[in-house]
Order: sequence, then structure tokens, then C-alpha cells
Amino acid sequence: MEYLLDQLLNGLSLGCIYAFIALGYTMVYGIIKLINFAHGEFFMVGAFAGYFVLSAAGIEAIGLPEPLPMILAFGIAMLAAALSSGVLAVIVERLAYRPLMGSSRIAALLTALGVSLFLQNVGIQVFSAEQRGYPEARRYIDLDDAADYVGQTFPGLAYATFTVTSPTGKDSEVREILAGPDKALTADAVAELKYKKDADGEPVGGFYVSSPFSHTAKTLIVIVSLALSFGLLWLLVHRTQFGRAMRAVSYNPEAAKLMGIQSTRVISMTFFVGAFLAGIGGIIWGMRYGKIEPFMGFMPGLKAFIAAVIGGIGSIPGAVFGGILLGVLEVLIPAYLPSEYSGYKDAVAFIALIAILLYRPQGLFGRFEGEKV
Amino acid sequence: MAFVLDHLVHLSILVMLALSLNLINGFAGMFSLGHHGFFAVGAYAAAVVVFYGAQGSVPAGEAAVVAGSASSILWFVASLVVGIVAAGIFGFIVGVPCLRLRGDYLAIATLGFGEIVRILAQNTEAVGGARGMEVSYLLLERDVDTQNEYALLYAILVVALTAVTFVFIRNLIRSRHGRSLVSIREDEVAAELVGINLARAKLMAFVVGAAFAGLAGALYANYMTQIEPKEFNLIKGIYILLFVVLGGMGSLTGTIIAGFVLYVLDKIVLNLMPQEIQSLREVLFALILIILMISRPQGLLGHKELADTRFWQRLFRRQRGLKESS
Repeated sequence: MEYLLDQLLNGLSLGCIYAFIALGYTMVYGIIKLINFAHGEFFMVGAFAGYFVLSAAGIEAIGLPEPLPMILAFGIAMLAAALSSGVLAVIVERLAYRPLMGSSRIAALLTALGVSLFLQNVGIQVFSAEQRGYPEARRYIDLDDAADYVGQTFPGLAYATFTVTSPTGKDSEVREILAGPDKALTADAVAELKYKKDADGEPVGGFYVSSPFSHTAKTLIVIVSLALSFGLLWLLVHRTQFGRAMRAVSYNPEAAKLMGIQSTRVISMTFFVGAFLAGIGGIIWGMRYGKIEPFMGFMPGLKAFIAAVIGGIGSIPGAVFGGILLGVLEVLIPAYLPSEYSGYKDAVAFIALIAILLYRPQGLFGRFEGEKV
Repeated sequence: MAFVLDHLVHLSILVMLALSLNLINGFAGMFSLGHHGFFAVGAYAAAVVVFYGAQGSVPAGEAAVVAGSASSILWFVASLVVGIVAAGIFGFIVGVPCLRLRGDYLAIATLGFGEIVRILAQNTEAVGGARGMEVSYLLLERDVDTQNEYALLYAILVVALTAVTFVFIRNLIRSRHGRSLVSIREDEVAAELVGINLARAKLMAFVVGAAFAGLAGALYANYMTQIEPKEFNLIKGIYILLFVVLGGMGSLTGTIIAGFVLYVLDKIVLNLMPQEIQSLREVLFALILIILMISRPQGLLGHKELADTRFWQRLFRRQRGLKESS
């Protein structure tokens, strides 16, 4: 039972990230009927922007993990991530997609593929291809000050990291947990740490205290931020002038233009809002999974598109529902299969896609549009 | 010499693959992004025949297959045939559900199919999992002495089969079946109204296109010593697609020209340029795709063949004119 609950939570948080990306897909598709393959790359850029802000802010130095400054730091990083994704999307739309207005759907699709490849490879040039560990909210405590903490418990974990050389000659990082919420730091552990050395002979010198948020709490934060974003988006689309213009362009671009709506601006804004959400998804991904790289956007991007199709492309609640459903399926199905089948995890989404296209091509929330002759 | 021939083999295989993709994408107008999946099926089917058939049939006492012997050549031919048939069957399996899809949805579904093939290959131990499969040479012994002969023989074989592919698809397009495909591309409803069986015509395009992709895959597997699942990724599919799109969707000669130009460009960047530019190679290809779509979405030749272009006709009319006047 606990296993099921754990897996459900894992699936939920993966699904929420898919939902963040899927919202942008569905909005862009709803308005200009383009599968914007580059959307996954907006997500990637958001993750990197968040990474740089968090690193620059020195998340270790702010004196964390006191919850309040940490939330502030993540708030700023999230805003930076979302804004940089959004601005990139507006630039891409202006340079690559707008010149294609009125040309064939296939040309637009190919351009989107090209933009996606382009951004991935520019990402490699700019960020380098290697994986980076995402900054963790943790505080460094020097061994000289460690005496003050002996006998205390910590809201998160207190741990020391050091590198060891494996028999094959590869260095890897090892973590030793010293204390936690229900285990006080002992003087012995501190004394022992003084003799620990890295593979290159450097003494360890200190230990870290990690963020007070547990796994479950992090998942809850993800869910709450999705719910909040979804609510704001719903208000934007249904309760503002801009939202009305957006729905008009999506319903009939020609008629909307005749009614005096500046459709190019609406399209541009739609890209911005969609990528804004993808950027938030990117930073959440980084915090949740801890690793980012320039190729990270492609697979989640594709899967988020699948999620949007499952929910009914063009439908905003559909994207959220489809994303969560896909995330849960993708975690639960391999969790209950024998372990030798766990490699097939990536196939789940594509099989779901083909199944939904065959039996309900308009998606779960979509409306069927009759074919026009 | 062997260097040029090696590139010729690779280029021909890619062109064969692109020609078969053009049948589906260009002539039938069904936008498929999963053609590398059929290529993979052909390659793996051939590898299985070589690995379990040719190598498996060697009696326990003997060391390994003798390349160039009569039975080895038979196994080689068998691997090509199995590659074609297996990919053709996959084409049918993918084609049936895809009949109900069009445009973007078809593109995404076929992309999903290509990914599923790769994931299956990666996780099936019988075909080597992520390590891939070893494929021993059957056609001719290949070592330092016979390197050139082997490359020459294989290049002739592959170029000849690519020519066969070209002629077959060209004739198919000019036949009743091919014309019905083109009419479906131009207007599906009108085509149906004049009595074309949409399902049959589309399925035929899928099966024939997949079968030739399977042949390309089988030739590829037999040429390389090792095939790995990660070679058959979406990037490969996009690379092929670039041949078709740059040459013109619906132009077979365009595909060949574009394939040649892109391949040579690719290899020049890869081999002759300084290290720093090399890593920009994929950026370059992505840019070519974007700029092409914005400035000339129909590709170099559009629906035309090389012989239909004004440039070509001017060349030949002048010669013919000279002959008539003399």
C-alpha cells in the first residue's frame, strides 16, 4: 500500500511537469495548428536559466535551509526561468514561425523540428553537453563550527560527501548521512569526519545540511504550483480581454482579424504564456530529478505533446488531465511489471498515443470537428 | 580508393532510404516521421538471419562462417529478402492504423512507431539489447588485403540496388497505382469520388516504401560489423527527411541530388574543417532545414524531375536543334 502511494506521488509529480509543458503545446496548437516541437527546448532553457540563477544566488550561502529565504530564492529563480523561456519563445515565433504563416502545415512542422534541433545543438555550444547537477538547497557547515551542532537534530538531513576511487579508476561521490530529523548529530560522527579524505587526499572539512522539505512535501509543492498556474491561466483565458482575443483567433483567425484583433500579437503572447509555463516546468524538473543537460527537453517535450493529444489538443483542462494521467501511467506500469521489462518505460507513452489516436482521435476532452470539404 | 567506395556505399544506402521515404511523403502525401523504424526493422531482421541462421548453422566443430562460400552467399541473399519482407510486414502493421490519421497526427504516430522499434530493440536480449548485434561478413572475406575488393563489390551491389529502387518507384509512380497515389495527395475527397480505393492505395505506398527501407537496412547491417539500437534514432530519420525535403517532395531525382549535396557537405564539415566547426554540424543542418522551409518550402525541384526542369531541357534542346539543322 505504501509502495503504491509512493509510486502514485512519483507519477503525480512527473505528470504535473508534463502538464506544465503540455499546456503550452495545447495553447499554441489551439491557436495556429502547429505542433511546436521546440517547446521541449523552451523547457530546457528554463531549467538552465533557473540553474544559473540558483548557482549565482549561491543557494548554499544564503544561510539556508531556513524555509522563508529558500522560497524567496526559488521564487526569483522560477520567475527568471519562466521569463527567459517566454522571451526565447517570442523570438523563435517572430524569426521562424511568422514567416511561415499561410504556408503548408508540413512546412511549419518541419520548421518546428528544425528549430528544436537548432536549439538543442546551440544549447550544447553554450551550456556544453555534459550533465549538470542542479543546485540543492543546502547549507555548508565547517568542521570548526561543528561543535555547536553536536546533539542537535535537523529538519532535513545532515550529510558529508566525499569522492572515492572505484577499482575501475573512476571517481564517484559518496554520501554519508550523519544526522536527520530523528537522529541527533553525535560528537563521534564529527570526530570521525575529521579523518575522512577525498580520493585526491584532500580532507573533507565539513558537512551539509539539506533542505527541510521531504520528498512528499516537494511533490505537494509541485502539485500546488500546477494548480495555481492552471487557475491563473483559466482566469487569463476566460476572464480577460486578451483571453477573449485568444479564443477568437483560435476559433476563426480570419474573422478575428476582421473584428480588429491584432492576431500576430495574440499569437506572440500565446507563445510567451505557453513557454512561461514550460520554463516553470523546467526548474521544477531540475529540482525534482537533480540533473539537467541540453537534450533534456526532447523526450519530455514529446511526451507532453502526447499528453496534450490524450487530453484533447486545444483543451486546457485536457492538457492538465492528460499530463497527470500519462505521468501516473508511466510510473505505475513499469513499477508493477517484472524488473526486466522496466526498459520499456518510454514505450508506454507512445503506445498510449497510438491507442488514443485510433479510438478517440479528438482526445478525452476534445470536441470532434467535422471534416470540411 | 576504399575510402571513396565506403562513402559511396553509405550514401547509396541513405539515398535508397530517402527514395522510399519520398514515395510515402512526397508522392502519397502521408507525412511519416518514422521511416528510420522500417530501416531498423530491415537491419535487425537481416542481422538475425546472419546471426542465428548463417552463424547458427555452422557445425560445432568448425570455427565460424566462411565468407564467400556458396552457402554464405545464399545466407546473404536470404538476409536481404527477410529484411525486405519483415519491413514490408511492419509497413502493413503500421499502415493499417495510420489510415485513419492524417497530417500532424500521422507524423506523430509514425514518430512514435519509430521510437517504439528502437526501444524494443534496446530491451530485447535476443537481439543484443543496448549492445546491439554483431553481423559477420558473408559476401567476401574482408581483411587488409581484400579491403578494396570488398568495398568495390559491395559498392557495385548497393548502387545497382539503389538504381533498381529508383526505377521501380519511378515506374510505380507512372502506373495506375502511382497516379492514384498522387491524386490522393492532391485531393483526397476528389480521388475517392472518382473511385480510388483510398485504403488500398495508401497501404500499398506504406508497404512498398517500408520494404525498400528494409532492403536498405539489410544492406546496411551486412556492411557494418555491428548494429546498435541508438543508430536508428530520430536524428537519422530527420537526416533522411532532409534529403527528401531539400530535393523536393515528389521528385526522385531531386532526392538523389539533395542526398549527394548534403552527404558531401556533411563529410566535408566532419573531416576537413577544424574541430571547433565540426560540433556546429548539426546546427548547420537545422539551419538549412529552417531557412529552406521559409524561403523555398517546395524544395529544389518541387514536384518536377530533373528532366522536366528548364535548365535540363535547354541543355538538350540545343543539342537536338544542332543535330536537326546539320
